[in-house]
Amino acid sequence: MEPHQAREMLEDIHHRREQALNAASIQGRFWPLLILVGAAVFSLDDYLAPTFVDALTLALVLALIYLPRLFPGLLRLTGQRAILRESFMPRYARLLLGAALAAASIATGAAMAWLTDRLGHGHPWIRRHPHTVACLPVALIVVVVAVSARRIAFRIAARGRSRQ
Amino acid sequence: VSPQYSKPPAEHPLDPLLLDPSRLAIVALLSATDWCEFALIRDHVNLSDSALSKQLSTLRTSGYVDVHKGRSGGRPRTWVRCTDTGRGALHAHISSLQAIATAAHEAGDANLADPGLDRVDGPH
Repeated sequence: MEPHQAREMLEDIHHRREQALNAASIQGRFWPLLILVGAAVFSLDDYLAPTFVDALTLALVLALIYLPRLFPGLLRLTGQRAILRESFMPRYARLLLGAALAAASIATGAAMAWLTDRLGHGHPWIRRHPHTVACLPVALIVVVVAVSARRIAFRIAARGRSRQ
Repeated sequence: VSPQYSKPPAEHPLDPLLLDPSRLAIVALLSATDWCEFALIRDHVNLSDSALSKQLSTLRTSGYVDVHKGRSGGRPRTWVRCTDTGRGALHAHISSLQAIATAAHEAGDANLADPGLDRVDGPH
């Protein structure tokens, strides 16, 4: 094989991997569904034990990550045509994604609870159900942060691979 | 170009199955994913359904890919993923390609430093 052919083949491999990265992006119609599910889970804190809600949240996140890997047919729900291999993304990109999500969740949750508590004077129902009142904006902010962090992580992965 | 560049290093021989551009494209695409839809591969690799099925069948026989058939949204769908064997083969193939490209690059640098080498290695 000639060196230029080898280089062309390597270029093609990198190009195909970038195509796979783009194909793994989640379609827009899935995000409203995720916002609603996130809001519902967040509001459960007003009605169920916090430990149970934390466990449920963890179970949902794990299901979202691993169920499509076990049952690829589920990918249709998220509008994905491919699921990105975990090891394809550098560890620091994955950590960035997780940290951004956790920070957004903690910060917006606390801020919204504080805000509803302040605004809710004179409204006993609002004081008793701060999570229900704040659930939609919290879920919206968390999902927006997740989408942004995911895009950044994907770009990091694509850049890293193209430099190989 | 000297014929010596065309020889891949003995420890990383080129994979004959991946010398076909279509098969290489399929395995490269799949190597970045856990599962990939049949239609997505077809669209990106620019093959007809039957040609892709044939290539996937060849790759599956060699243990490079796994195929999962199911139904989604009331329609039959096929999902494909790369096996560990396929990833290993692609990794070795990439190493060989890089070795060929690097060897040519280094030889090119040497030729620049000593243009006389060109006359020794080149055809007469």
